[in-house]
Amino acid sequence: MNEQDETLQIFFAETEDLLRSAEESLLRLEAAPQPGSDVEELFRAIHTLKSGSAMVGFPLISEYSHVLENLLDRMRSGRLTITKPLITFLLTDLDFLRQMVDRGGRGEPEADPETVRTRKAQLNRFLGMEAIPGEDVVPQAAKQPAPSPAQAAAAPSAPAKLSAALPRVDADGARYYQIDMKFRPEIFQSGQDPLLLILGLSEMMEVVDVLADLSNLPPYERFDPYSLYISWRLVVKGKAGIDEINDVFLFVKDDNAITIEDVTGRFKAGVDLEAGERPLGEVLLERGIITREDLGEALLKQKKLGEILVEGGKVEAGVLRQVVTQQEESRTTYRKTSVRVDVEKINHLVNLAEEIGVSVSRMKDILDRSESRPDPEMEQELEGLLKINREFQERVSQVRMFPLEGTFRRFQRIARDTAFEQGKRIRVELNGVDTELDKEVIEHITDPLKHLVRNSVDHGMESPEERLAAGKNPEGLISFNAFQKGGMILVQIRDDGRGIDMAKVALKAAEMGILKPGETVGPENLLEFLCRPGFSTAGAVTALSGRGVGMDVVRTEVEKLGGTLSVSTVKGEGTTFTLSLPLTFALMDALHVKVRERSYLIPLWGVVGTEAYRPESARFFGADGRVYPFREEYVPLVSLASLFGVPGAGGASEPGRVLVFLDTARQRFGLLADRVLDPHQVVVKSLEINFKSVKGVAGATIMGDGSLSLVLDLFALEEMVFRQGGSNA
Amino acid sequence: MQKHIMVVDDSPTIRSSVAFCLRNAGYEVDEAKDGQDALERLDVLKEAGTPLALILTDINMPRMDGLTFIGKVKATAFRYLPILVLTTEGEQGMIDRGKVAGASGWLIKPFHPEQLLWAIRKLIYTK
Repeated sequence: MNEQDETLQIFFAETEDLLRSAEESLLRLEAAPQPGSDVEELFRAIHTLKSGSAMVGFPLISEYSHVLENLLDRMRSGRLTITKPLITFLLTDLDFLRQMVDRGGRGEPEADPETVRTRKAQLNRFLGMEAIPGEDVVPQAAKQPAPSPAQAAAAPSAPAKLSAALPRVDADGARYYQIDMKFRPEIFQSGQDPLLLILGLSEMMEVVDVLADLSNLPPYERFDPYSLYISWRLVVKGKAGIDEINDVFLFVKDDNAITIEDVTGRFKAGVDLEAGERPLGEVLLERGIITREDLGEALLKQKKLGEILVEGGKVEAGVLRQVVTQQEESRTTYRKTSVRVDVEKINHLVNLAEEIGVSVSRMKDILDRSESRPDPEMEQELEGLLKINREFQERVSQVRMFPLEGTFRRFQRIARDTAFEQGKRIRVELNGVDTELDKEVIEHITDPLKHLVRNSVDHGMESPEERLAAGKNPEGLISFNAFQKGGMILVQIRDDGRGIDMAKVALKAAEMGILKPGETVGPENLLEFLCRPGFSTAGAVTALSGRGVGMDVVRTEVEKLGGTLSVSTVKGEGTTFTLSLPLTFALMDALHVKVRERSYLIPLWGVVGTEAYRPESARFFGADGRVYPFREEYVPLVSLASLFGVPGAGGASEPGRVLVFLDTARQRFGLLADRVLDPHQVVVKSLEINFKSVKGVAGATIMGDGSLSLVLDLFALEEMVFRQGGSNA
Repeated sequence: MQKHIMVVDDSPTIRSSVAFCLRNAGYEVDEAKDGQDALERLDVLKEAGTPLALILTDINMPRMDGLTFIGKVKATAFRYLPILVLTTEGEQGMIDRGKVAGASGWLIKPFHPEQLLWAIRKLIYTK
C-alpha cells in the first residue's frame, strides 16, 4: 500500500467518524432544535468532509458538502429555523453522502449528476425563496486538475477575476516591470521575509537592477534587529505578466506598499535607474520633452530653499546667512585640499626646474673658473640657491609620483581572470602597494608587467592536480612586490609554480638555432634566450600570454626607462621576474669623473665609495683581469679609459688616479678614472635615440661649462665587466 | 538538515495528505490534531531544541481553534515563525482574521501539492 492509498484509507475512516458524529448531532437536535454546540459540531463535520473529499479527489462529495455547509451555516446563525422535516432531510443527506463515499471507495463514480441535481433542488426548498449561492462557487481545484499554483491561495479574494487574468505570455518578447516595495517595519512579526519575495521574483524574472533605500536606517543604538528599515526598488525583465508578479506578493500586498508598474515602454532601450537619482530637469531635457531654454526659464523662476523658508517665517534671514557662509567655507576648504592638474602642466614645471638647475650649476662653474677670488657672500648665496633648487626639483618630481597600488590591483584582476580561464587556482598577494613611482614610468611598465603577470599564470603556474601531485598547495601563489633599493624601485612578479625548465629552453633555443654549439642554458644567460623575439617556452601559444607583447618587448621597454629586467627561477619552486626602475627618469644625481679631458657622469645611486688608487693593492687575476680590495672583498677592476678607448690615457701603473666603487645591487666593481669632481644633478634626455648603440652609455648631458658629458649606464657597464672578465684594464 | 514543518488540522485526511506532500518534498513533518495539541508539541520541540521552519494550521478545529492557536504562538519564542493558515473557499473573512492574529499567509483547501509548496516557498528558504 503506497502512501497515497494510505491517505485514502485514512479518509474513509475519517468520513465514517464524521458522518457518525454528524448523525449523533442531528439526533440530539431533533430532541432540542436550537442553535448551539450541536449545530457547530454538525457544521464542522460537514466542513471537514468537504475539504477532505476535495483533497483526495472526490469533487462531487466536496461539492455536495459545500451546498450542505451553506445551509448549516444559516442554521448556525439562526437565519434558518430548525424543523423536524429539515432534520429528517439532513439525515437522508448524510446517507446520501455515505453512499457517495462507498461508491467512490469501490472506484465507481460517486453519484450520477441527475441525483445530485434533484437533491440540491430539495435543499433549496428548505431555504425558501433564496437560492443557494454555493451552487456557483465550486472548488476550483476539484474542477480543474492542474490550476496555477497561485490559484488556490488567491482564490478567495477574486476567484473569477484571477482565472481570467492568468498571465498571457507576450510572444514578442520580454517586458520590464518596476517594483517598489515598502514594507511595514514590523513585517518580521508576521513571519514574512522580504528577501524571500525578492528571491521568488528572481526565479521567474531577470532582475535588471536593485536599489535599496537605506535612508530609514536608524543609528546603531536605536537599531531594532526585529524591524525592517529598508525598502527596495527592483527592475525586472521577463515574460511573466503583471498578475504573475502580483502573485509573488500575494501574502504581503494588502498590508504593505507594493507597487508594480509595467515600464516596458519607458525602458525598452535599456534600464535607466539613474534617472531617479538625477535632477528632473536633466532627465526631461535628455528625453527631448523640454528644451534647454525651457529649463533655464523654469530654473530662474524657481526659488531657493532658503528664500522659501525665510518667507514662511521658518528661519531668520540672519541665521540662514550664517549657515550658508559656513557651507561656503567648508566647500573652499575642501577645494584647497585637492586639485586636479593636467599632467602636461606638471611636466612643464619639472622641465623648468631642471633648466634652473643647469643654469645654477653653470653659474657656479663660471665663478670657480674666474681669475679673481669670488665674493664669499656671492658664493654663499649660490650655495643656498643650489640647495633650494635641488629641493624644488625633488618636490616637483614628487607631484608626478603615484603609488603602485592601482596598477597592482589591475594585475591582481588579470591574474585571477587568467587563472579562472585556465581552471587554475591562485591566490594573489600584494606587497608594497604604497611604493611610489613616476607616473610616466608606471605608464611605460604597465604593459610589460601585464605580460609578465599573464606569463606567470599561464606558463609558470601548474594546474591544481599537478600541484597536488607535486605535494604543493593546489592553490598557487602569485605575489607582486614593490620596494626601494638604493636609487631604484624594484618591482617583482613572483610565482610558486613549476619554474622555468632550462632543458626545455635549451631545446627550443637549439631548434631556433640561437644556441651555439657547446653552449648551455643557465641562470646567467636564461634571460637572453627568453628575450629573443618569438621565443616561448610553452608548446602552444595560448590566447592570453602568447600574443602581442613578447619578453623581448618587455625588456626593451624597461631598458628604455633606464631600468633592467632580471629573472630567477628554481625548478619546481617558482620564478621571479624583477624590474629595477629609476625613481624618476628625468633627473639624476651623478658623480662627475674625468678621464683626460673627457667627462663622464656616473649615476650616484650606484656609487658606494671612492678612494685614491694604489697600484700596489691591485691583484692580477687570471690572464689579464685585475681585482682590488674593497671593504674586505676583492672586486673586479676596470679602467674607464680602456672601456671607452680614450686616447693617450696612462697605463694601470700611473699614480694619482681615483677609484670609484659601484654596486648595482647585483654586482660590485671598481671603475678607474683620472679625477673625481663634484656630484651633479643632470637631466638625461632622449637617451635611447642618439646613444642606444654606444654600449655602457645611457645618454648625454650638457655640463655647467657648456661641455658635453656622457652618462654611464651602470647595468651595461656591469655586463661589460663581468662578461669580459674585467679584462680591459 | 531537513526543515521541520508542523501541520495542525483536526482532519486526519488533510494531515495525511499534507504530510505526504511535504515529506515528498523533503521536509520533516510534525502533526497535531488541534491548537491545544500543537501548543504541547511546540513545547516538546523547544525542549528537544528542534528548530521549526513553519506552521500550517487549520482554523476551524475543536478544543482550540486556529486563530486562538496563532495568538498563543505569538506569545512564545516561536513568534517570528511563519504561519500558513489553511482555510476553505468562502471564508474570505477568515483570511483577514488570520492576518490580524499574525498569520503570514494562507492556503485555500483543497489545494494541489504544488500550490502548497508554492505558498511555503514564499515563507521559508528552500534549498
